[in-house]
Amino acid sequence: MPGLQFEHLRKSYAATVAVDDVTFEVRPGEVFGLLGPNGAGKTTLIRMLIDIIAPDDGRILLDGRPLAPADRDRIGYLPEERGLYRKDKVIDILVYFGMLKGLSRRDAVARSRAWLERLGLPEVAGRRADSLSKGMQQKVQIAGTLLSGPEILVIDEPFSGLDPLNTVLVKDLLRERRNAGALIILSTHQMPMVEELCDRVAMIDHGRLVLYGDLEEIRRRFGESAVLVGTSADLRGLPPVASAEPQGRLCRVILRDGARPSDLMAILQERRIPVDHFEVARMPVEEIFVRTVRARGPAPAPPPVAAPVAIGRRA
Amino acid sequence: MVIAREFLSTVKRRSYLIVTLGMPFFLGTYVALVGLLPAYFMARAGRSQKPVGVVDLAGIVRVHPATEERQGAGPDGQAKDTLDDLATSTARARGLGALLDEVGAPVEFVALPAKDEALQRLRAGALQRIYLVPADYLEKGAIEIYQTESSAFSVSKARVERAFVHLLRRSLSEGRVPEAVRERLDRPVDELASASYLVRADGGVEPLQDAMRMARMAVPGVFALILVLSLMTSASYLLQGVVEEKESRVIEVILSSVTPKDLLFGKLIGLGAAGLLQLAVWVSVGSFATSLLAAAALAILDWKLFMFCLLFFVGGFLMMGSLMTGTGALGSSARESQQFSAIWTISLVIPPAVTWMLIMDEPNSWMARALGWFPLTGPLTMMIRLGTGKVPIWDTVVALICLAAGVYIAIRGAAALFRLGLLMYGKRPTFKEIVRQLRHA
Repeated sequence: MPGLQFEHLRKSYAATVAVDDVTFEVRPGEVFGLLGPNGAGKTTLIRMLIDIIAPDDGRILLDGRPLAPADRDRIGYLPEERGLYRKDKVIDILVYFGMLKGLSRRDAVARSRAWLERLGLPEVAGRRADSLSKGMQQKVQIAGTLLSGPEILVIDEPFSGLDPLNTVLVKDLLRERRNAGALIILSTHQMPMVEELCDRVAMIDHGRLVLYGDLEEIRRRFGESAVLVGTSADLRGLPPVASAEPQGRLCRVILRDGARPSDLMAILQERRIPVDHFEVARMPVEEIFVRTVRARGPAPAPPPVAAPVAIGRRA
Repeated sequence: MVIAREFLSTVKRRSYLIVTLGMPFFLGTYVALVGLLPAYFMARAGRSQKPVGVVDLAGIVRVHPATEERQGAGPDGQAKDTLDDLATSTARARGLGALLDEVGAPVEFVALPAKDEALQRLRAGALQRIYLVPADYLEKGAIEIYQTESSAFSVSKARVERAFVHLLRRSLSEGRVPEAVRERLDRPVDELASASYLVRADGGVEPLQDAMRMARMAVPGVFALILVLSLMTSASYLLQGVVEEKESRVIEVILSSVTPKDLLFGKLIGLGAAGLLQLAVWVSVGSFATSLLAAAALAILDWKLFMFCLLFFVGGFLMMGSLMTGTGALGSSARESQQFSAIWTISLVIPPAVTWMLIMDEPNSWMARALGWFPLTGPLTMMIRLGTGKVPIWDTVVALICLAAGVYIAIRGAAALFRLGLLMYGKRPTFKEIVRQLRHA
């Protein structure tokens, strides 16, 4: 089977279980969001994928066979924090990273220059990494990840430190790679990016898989509980309303669990509250994230009640 | 790839260049200041030195008008002989030789009839000191010394005293002992004309050449010195690099491309080469050191001994370097890393350093053998043992096999610790985690 399969992965450090029986798959040609609160076990999962640490149990399959050391050259990894030799020249760092991935020196130099050009940084090739701004360093790091043309991209917070223009540039790059058939695992806390880029997601909390599947499916399931209402009245305190926040000239209402948009409509009519706009909205991924984590509470707990798209641990 | 990067990035470091190229200059300046300047001033003082007065009340000292006693076999004389032997052609050696000539300049003795007159001349500054030989000298052996300085120790004073003793000995024997015996009294053993013989276990006797003996000890000695020095210099670069990679998180990117074992190995070789290059620069810049090494090692080189020493050097470097890096990676700062890795330097150096004399006396004793076969202490111990020329080949081979096993275990264990330590930021792994990781290795 093409793509990556994570099968019953488990890893613990001393008394802490960092990853607990996690199973999911990532397909080629998709951007896969790996979500979860801080300390949920995402980094441990990524480190197992790039073979920095070995799982205590379970396995990772690539194209249907166990991941082998030779597969390292097929994976490009962008760590969350900038990993550059501070005192080295940018071009030297990039060439070194490229050669570690199996490129010849000549090829690595040519590709490094081409990527710097592409990212709008041709002038920094001869500069020391520590003389660059945070955003520039991030772009150099991205160039280092992409220059060997990896089939599998594992990127952790790629947009940190980037201004809106560069954010668009990097988003375009990722879409381009996806369209070329690359498998991209994106780990981020920036939910708008997940909404924009990801095809499917997995959410980890306390080492367990708590949400997994097609992003549209997930949003559809959570979607009915959000409504955009055009009104000047304060809707907070109404029985079906969990929260109400202004969004432009409208008000975004999140309904309580079990409440439906028609319940809100009924109560608005009953109380004769003037309304000029009523729209059932898709649940923002951020809200899905918050709700899922809150529902599980601070301590490890069994997975939530099974929903069509939520997968807990396998029985 | 890692090897080339580690080597080049170290060699291009400003601190490396400063230390490598600056050290010979610094040492040269240091030697000039500490060694040559005092010698130069002493020589100047020697040239302007005043005569020494001798008041002989016992009537035994034969001081002819302006007697000059030159003491030939003092330390200065020996130093000059060595210099002459080693490098007479170099300008520096000639300069130094001239200086030592000055230091060893003859002492002028002046016979004075009475103590009062002598003291008067001493006060007037015409004499540097007075030796008074009392009338009962032959019975008691006591003399009186008068001087204007109160310092207890000085090189020139010791030199003058040696010259005076020599003068007394010559005076006492004059006319009483045949001339040939007087010569022998001056130098009872002529080391240049003497010879030593080695009695082998099979009963055979062979001449023991000093030069050969020196060379036998020089080769292992030089290797031992280079091993310790290169471990110290490369370990510091190694740990610096590891801590930097750990702090800047570069390590995650690297480890996504190469295995921890490859990374560790690459670092060891690359930095080891940089360390050796540094030593090579130091050794070759110092022409004196080069001529010494050339004379001792190359002229009469035992290739078998050289190869064995080289193998112990390479094995020792790989084992110690990997252990130092593995444990060094556990530290969360450069200082902590250095403290962790110092354990290994101590275990390498201390046991042979404490027992080296015993090992040299009996290179095949159980203790020498145990220390030689144990991988941690093996490299240096075996170098000491090999220097004696009495260690059987099979014994050396067993030590090499033990060392190879040690290197294998050390690299595996160190790679596991390296992997564990590198990914732990700001905290130290617990002892339990370390044991678990090592078991996995």
